[in-house]
Amino acid sequence: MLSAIGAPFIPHWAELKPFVADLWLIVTIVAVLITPFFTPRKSNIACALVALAGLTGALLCLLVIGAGPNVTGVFFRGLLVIDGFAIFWKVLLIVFVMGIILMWLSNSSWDMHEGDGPEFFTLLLGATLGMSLMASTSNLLMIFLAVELASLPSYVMAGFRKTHRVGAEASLKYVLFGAATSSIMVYGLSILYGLYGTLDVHGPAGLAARMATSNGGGALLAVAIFGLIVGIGFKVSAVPFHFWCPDVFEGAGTEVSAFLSVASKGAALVLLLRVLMLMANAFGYQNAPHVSLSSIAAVIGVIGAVTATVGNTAAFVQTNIKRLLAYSSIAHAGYMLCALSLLVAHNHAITVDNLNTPAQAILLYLAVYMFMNLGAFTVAGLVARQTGTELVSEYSGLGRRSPILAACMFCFMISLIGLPPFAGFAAKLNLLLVLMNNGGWWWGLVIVIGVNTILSAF
Amino acid sequence: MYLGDNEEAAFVPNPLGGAIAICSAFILVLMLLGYGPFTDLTKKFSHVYGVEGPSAAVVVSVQP
Repeated sequence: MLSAIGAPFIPHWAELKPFVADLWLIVTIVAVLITPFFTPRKSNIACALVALAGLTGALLCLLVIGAGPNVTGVFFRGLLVIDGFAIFWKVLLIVFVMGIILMWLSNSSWDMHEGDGPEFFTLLLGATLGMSLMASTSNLLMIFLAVELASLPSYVMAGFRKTHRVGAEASLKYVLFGAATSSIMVYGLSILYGLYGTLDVHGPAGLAARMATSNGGGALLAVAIFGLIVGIGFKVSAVPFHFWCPDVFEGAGTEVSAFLSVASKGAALVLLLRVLMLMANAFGYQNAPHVSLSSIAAVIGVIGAVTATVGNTAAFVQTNIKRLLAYSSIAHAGYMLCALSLLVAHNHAITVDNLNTPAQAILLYLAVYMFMNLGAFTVAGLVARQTGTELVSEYSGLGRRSPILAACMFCFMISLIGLPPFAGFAAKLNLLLVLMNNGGWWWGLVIVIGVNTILSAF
Repeated sequence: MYLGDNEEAAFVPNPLGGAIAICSAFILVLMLLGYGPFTDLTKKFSHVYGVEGPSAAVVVSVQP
């Protein structure tokens, strides 16, 4: 019986080494869970400090791996993949989560019920682990597992303020949307497996050849890709799967909203980029008989443009600062989605450097976006704590009441719009240059982003 | 809006929260000033495993 299954897989150190930061996160989760046994009082803050220490360890592991000899490849029998792109995202993610814990210490540590700390930080680290794995996989099964590992703790975190009615409503809405989109995504993934008989997106030789020669699979393939885009589009909060975002941001705690605004969207974008780039590479950046890369690129470009426009226009009428930042995050997700539409080389020679420009633009944008949102949500949390409300009208006179916070918020808003002298300008300019270099209809996306930048200034 | 009238009393933000906000703003300026090196860094780490260009890709032929 066992011989039919095959030899058991026991990973050796060479397989584990690239993922030591993920393993460190698992160790940290266990450490956070047992922390209350050793700290009878103030266990919430002790848990936060343990989580911070664990994240620091994971960050050091990643920096050692990133600075060391080139570690790229497929591991765990094709389930996980590691490359520079994944390592950079993981570093960003861990730095950001450390910032979130510091934000929690400054803002919410007094509000949380004593004894809730282990659960909260376990959920936070669990979601972080899922988002880290989302960047490290090109296997259909692992994609689903990683997305769910990131999603399930996020649902609970959204409703973690137990006595907050809006929080409970937000969490329920998040779960319902998440369940619906997850089911559509797993349906799409199962069709992909049924069509091509492999879970591996990474095997271009096998997959592309099968895709090109399978007759009559075009419609099913479209359904499968639609399912994948729905599942990941929900995480990105791309239009029309964005309805959960403002409600969840309003109902959840400030640090949870900040976490979801960057980490959740970033992980989903990184995953979608990997899948799309592998698919485009498999077809040599040209349309195949049953697979029109141009159509997929156009759909993603249009979704990105509509998402950016909806985010910026809906932000006009918001009176709650967290809802305003939620629509801002939708708009920024739209900008980044536009970069993902670069699947077909139009106006330049196909070289490895050119092929990786979308990945470079996304990484740079995410790095900048991370600090913009971390700062903006921190100020929002501090002002809300002082005034007792999250209304935008409470920011009236902030320059007199707290000049430092007002100056900082001004910097973040200018950077979120994409104006100098802040890095938001550089990130947006870099994104526009990448789109412009490809020419063709991507100029339309450049114009849409330009118009949206003007809209966002209001 | 920040400079508008409001009778609320002035307040001092939580020091840790204030420090996070100031550091984030400072990093945003720093990222713009170091745009060149930062772009090089992201270029260095932008390689996606398996994306090797058309030479490594499968040549897709149309079946009659």
